[in-house]
Amino acid sequence: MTEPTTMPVRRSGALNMHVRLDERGIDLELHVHPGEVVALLGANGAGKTTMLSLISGLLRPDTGRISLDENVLVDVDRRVWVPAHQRAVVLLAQQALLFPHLTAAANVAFGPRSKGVSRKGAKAEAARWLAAVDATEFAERRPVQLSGGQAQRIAIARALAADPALLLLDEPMAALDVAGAPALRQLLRKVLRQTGRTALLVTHDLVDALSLADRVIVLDAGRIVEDGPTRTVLTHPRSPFAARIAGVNLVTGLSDSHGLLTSDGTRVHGIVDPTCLAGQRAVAVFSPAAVAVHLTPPTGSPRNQIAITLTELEPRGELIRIHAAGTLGGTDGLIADITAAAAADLDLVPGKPVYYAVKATEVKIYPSRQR
Amino acid sequence: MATPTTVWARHRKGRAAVGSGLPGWVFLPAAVGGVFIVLPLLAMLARVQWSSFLALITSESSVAALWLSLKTSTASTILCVVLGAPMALVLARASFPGLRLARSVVLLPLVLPPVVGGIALIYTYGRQGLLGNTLQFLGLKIAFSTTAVIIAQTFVALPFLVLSLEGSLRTAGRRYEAIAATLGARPTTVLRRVTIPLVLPGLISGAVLAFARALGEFGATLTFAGSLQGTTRTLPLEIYLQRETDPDAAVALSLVLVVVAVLIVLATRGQGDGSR
Repeated sequence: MTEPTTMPVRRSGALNMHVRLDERGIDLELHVHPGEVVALLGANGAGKTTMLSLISGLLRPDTGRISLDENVLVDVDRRVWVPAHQRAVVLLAQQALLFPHLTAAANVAFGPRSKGVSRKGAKAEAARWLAAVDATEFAERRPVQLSGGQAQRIAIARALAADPALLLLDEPMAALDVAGAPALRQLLRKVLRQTGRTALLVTHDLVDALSLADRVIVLDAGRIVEDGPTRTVLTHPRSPFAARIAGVNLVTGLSDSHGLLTSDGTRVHGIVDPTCLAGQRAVAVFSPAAVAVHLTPPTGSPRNQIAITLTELEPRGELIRIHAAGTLGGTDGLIADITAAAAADLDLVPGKPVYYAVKATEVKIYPSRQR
Repeated sequence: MATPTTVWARHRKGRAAVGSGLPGWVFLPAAVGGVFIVLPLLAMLARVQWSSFLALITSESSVAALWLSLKTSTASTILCVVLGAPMALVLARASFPGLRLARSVVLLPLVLPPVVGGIALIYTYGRQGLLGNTLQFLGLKIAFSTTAVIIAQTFVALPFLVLSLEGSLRTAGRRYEAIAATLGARPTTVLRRVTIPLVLPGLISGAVLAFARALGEFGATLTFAGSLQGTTRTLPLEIYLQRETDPDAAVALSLVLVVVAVLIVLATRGQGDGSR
């Protein structure tokens, strides 16, 4: 392993932004502390990549302001516009995009050379960063001679060698195979922790958010709908997207003393969080493992029952995940995890109508983010 | 009974045909087209008087024409690169109102009959032309000089370079340039260290196309520059002139041009493959 001292620590990178881009329905306000790693989650088209383009200077906002540390990067009102090459914001994309005509070492030296570092100094810098990502052996190779994972490692070294105040990572693991992604994730974790670099990480992968990020932001239709520590967002999701990422069921509605009243009048019984005021917007969250599946309407203690139709059975280790059509208070796509034996006993096949039953004690009801 | 090898061979042959995905009849007109191009060259080759070939192409007027052609074509190719590369960059990367119109205008010399181009050049740079007074004041006489040959050749060859390079720029895309910018490279550095190396094959093939077009230029040159031996009579003009008096010399010189053209095509092919 390389010595931590080979990676200079940079204690800066406070990002403050509030911008709008009307044509794409973007309205974003975000504050990131120096050294913080923030995961950006959201469905395709939610505005994640647009957000990175706005910060890196590849797109102009209609209104608003972005600042990084004491530097104002964009201020539409005061007509401030710092071009991409003066922002100290480096973009790492899904593809490594190493310059094909340069060797790996020359690629890494590109940032320092562009800043006016001497040829010799840039070469030394490149060697140091190649060592930091364990890629010294590839120094003289051309990008075509590198695998996807190797190229992405060089791209990380190239990004860090440019000494960015802010690192933008746009799904850096997405194009790698199953074997390559964990190794790169571990490397990113190492360099992000050791260099104290501020980073925004766009990802679709829960594992990325858990292992790399301090904080998670969920984007939906160009707005931030959820923002909090990774753990909180994943254990107490307040948006359908975060719930899907966290693998739990989420129903939205208004809280009352007994539970949650959905927009179509269904009452969801559950344990209401003390912070939840009656009539407030709230969410009911329950794990797929808490769902029991019946062929006939179940009787017994107060339960939540939902008549649904099976759409898909998905094997997940020892369990079978059941996807279903049919809604609970306007929320569809409810999932349930049952054992393979139970699935066989019930003779479950797609298209079969069944009942979901969830004990009230398994349902947590808490306030959702006010919008 | 078929042995396994023949079965395999037949199988492979069948697969290759399926792989091309073309209906068989397409090969017939394609072959006719190929013959259409090659046959006239062969016919010309058959008429070459090999016994006097060397004497014909080394005569004083032939050497002068060949030398003038190479000189002027090289000069106009350099001019095409110097003017055309920035034009291609602007067309491919910039955005301003009227860009589409500008692209059409750039292509104009491509579709214009060269004679018309020559006439247009006369009324621009000629003594009575638009810039005539200015040029005269500066002591420059352009019409019917070697400079006129270069201007005529550049005029007709420029679109070839611009088109070829613009295509390469669009294919290369802006992603590498965006990455280079975020790494801290100024626009000029991005152009020098990323854009130009990426499109170099396109730039070279564009320059070669422009050179070939300049070398073959006839109509605009004759109209605008005339046919003065050693000054404006390039190889195509010499060939046309010789055709009246000495057909054997015309054929021999034509062969020289064909050889030069073939060499150019081979050179660009090699370049394109090597740099990819």
